[in-house]
Amino acid sequence: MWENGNRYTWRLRPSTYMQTAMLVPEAAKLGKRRWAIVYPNYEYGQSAAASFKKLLSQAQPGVQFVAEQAPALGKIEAGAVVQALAEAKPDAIFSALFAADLQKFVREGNIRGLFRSTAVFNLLAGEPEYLDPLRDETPEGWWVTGYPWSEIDTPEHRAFRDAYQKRWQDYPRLGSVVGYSALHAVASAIRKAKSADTERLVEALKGLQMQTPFGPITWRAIDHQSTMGAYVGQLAKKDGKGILVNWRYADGAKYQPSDQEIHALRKE
Amino acid sequence: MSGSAALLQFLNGLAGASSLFLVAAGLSLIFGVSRIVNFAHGSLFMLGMYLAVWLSPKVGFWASVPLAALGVALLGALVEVLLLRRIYRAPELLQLLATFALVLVVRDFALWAWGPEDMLGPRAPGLSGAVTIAGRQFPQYDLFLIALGPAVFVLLHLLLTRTRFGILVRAATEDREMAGALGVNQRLLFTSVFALGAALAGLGGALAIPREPASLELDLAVVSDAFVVVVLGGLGSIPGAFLAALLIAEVKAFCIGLGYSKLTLVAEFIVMAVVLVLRPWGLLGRPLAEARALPTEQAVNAFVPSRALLAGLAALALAPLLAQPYTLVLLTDVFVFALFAVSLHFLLGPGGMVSFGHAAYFGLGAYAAALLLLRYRVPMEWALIAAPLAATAGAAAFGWLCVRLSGIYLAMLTLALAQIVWSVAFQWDSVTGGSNGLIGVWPAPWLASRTAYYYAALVLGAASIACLWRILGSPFGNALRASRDSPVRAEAIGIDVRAQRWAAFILAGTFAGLAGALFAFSKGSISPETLSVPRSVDGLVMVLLGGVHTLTGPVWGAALFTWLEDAVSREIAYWRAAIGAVILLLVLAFPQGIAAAARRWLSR
Repeated sequence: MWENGNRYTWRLRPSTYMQTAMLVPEAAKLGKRRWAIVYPNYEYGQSAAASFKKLLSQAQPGVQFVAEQAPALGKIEAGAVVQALAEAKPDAIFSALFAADLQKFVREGNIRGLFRSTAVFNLLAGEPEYLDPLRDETPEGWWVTGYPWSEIDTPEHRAFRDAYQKRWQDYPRLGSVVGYSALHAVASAIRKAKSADTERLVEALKGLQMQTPFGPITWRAIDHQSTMGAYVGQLAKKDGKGILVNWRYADGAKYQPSDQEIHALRKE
Repeated sequence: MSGSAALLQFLNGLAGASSLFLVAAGLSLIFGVSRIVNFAHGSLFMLGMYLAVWLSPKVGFWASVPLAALGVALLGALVEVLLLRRIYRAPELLQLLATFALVLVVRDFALWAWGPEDMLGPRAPGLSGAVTIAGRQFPQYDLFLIALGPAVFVLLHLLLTRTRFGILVRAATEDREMAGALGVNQRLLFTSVFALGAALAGLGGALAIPREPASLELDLAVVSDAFVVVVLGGLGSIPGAFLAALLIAEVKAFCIGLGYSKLTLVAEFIVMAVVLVLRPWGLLGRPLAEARALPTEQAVNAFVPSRALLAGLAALALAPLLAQPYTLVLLTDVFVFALFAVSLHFLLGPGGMVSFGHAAYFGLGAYAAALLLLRYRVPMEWALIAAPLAATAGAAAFGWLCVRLSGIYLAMLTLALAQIVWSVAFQWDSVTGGSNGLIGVWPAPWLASRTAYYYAALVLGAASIACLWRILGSPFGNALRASRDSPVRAEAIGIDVRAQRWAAFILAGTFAGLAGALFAFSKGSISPETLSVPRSVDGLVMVLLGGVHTLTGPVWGAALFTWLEDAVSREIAYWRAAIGAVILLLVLAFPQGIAAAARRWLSR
């Protein structure tokens, strides 16, 4: 979004940096000193790990990062990774794993008792796409970003959820919200530009404000990132299924680097 | 790393080795007897997983395991009887195409039956907890797996050495035709071996569900791991597969234990490449006996530009006047892939060298073009011309290693080397952009319009293809074919077989690199998928669809496959299954390829 940003690329979803920044205040509050990090070894995971190290070191000077595991995406050898993390005796773990990697990691970690004495922070693990397959394996107490679709009771979300369930006889996933909002953004931009011309659409998108199921968002002119946020909460089990508790909406507008940093990185 | 930590990582490796061995053993058995490279073996494993996850809430985990294995075995027998049996006499490798079509069909079947979401199975009842070993928790189930791997190995060994069935299997592995001549019922033997191999894959899948979720991406991941194990151990050798599974799983576990987790992606392929260079037939393998009953390769005629071909070219040159803009984009793709397929055919058909990693050279060309343009600010025209040289260099280095081998071992080494190139592109973020790839790879302004680029791709593609075809008719082409058909006689009349094959490798790589560079500029961006295994497989599919023993076949194959993928994926939700079904139909109807079929039909 910043180093490789350009005039024609816009992003709706909260960036990896933003989602990491949403978890850091809770992580710093715990005051744990020894942190281990595990992430899938590609752009998303690397940027999550780098952002987390930077932001937590700022929020909690003197924090140590004692182990780092970067298995290939979709190919984690979960037993060996859990084992290696446990050897480093961390107080807390930051993970950017998701999908099949997350499920394998959780099961091995549960069986091998890795999470018994460590706090865990995991990006994305609260999204229904990744939380639902865990079922009764859901690790309780983890801090995650996600989407508690059944519990958000704002009028705009209720309207979206009801309409979605009526149309598809299924509950919305985070991907549903993102897809829906993205199409709405395109429509809003065309309406504002009164044209489908590329250059006019770019101008229209700058600073565009619109409604989403998560509430109002703004498309930032400075870096083309929308201020759509995410829900931050802790995992818990209810009737053999994973849910989010103690959750709150983290507004994307509040978790951004300073404008100077962005100007320095964006070469426009 | 302390001693007890090392012990635990060693045990982790053992558990991983058992799972790997189960899949690999089945693949090895099937190949040993039927000489079929079963691409669908990973799909059978995946099916075993899904069946077990689906059945275990109904009948319990332990009952679901044998049921899943049995179900997959039945499917395997069915596939052998209905499909593979019909094409044993077809050109080699056609079975590969058929099993690849099965991969597509099985993937979409699983999607239809169980949906896109990953399905995590239950823990194994009775073995759901952990035991304390050296002060650390180790899963009971992993201990069970550690015991099971060797147990299955011993059972298989007894089956193969102490029973009549085993003697027949070994005889067929050793010399298929001789076994047939001695009155062994080959049909029954092939079907039962295929079913046994499938059962092992299904068993492996079902036993994996307490450790990992069933997901749709497992098929190709598992089969490529299994290939590595089988080839590393020596094809057809069960003890070899066991040893290789152990080696690879331990290397991976210790990579992680010692903090080199980033290496796990490429570690197994490095091990395989090293072993194959040092021991060309794997750890415990022996040179393969020739399968005598296969039809001898047919001569590919020298290239004479026919009137029909020139008329076709003229029509393509006029196309921009009439066609939709999108059709031009699609046709540009066709030219790029036609060149890619023809270069692969050069290696595969007349060269007699099967490459499973041809996309490496395509990708090297594409990345070189992008890097020259973006990093070194070389003008686009020069980048396009210079980029294939990177592929030349890559093909020269890899080819030097590969031409020492032949047949399936050569194919596997090309796969391993391509995988290494892919891992480098995927993980070397500062240069290749990692998983994101590189963007902004646009052609120079005078070529930027769709029509201009269309002509560029047409001219360069057609000229390169004509050049490759001309070379096949030259004395070099004849020497190359002689080296393929009878290496011993070729050597005897003074042909340096290895040199011919090496030169063919380099030439094919260079032109694949040009196709890659054309591809990069036509899309404006590249990512590691450009040189991934599926791209190599696409190339194989194009060549085989068109017909290995024809000159123009690969071009028709490329056109058909590109068009099919585009049309079907837009129109049909289960497009993979649809493509798979079309490929199966074509394989059964035209085992010699569509070009050969068309020629027969025209000459009637």
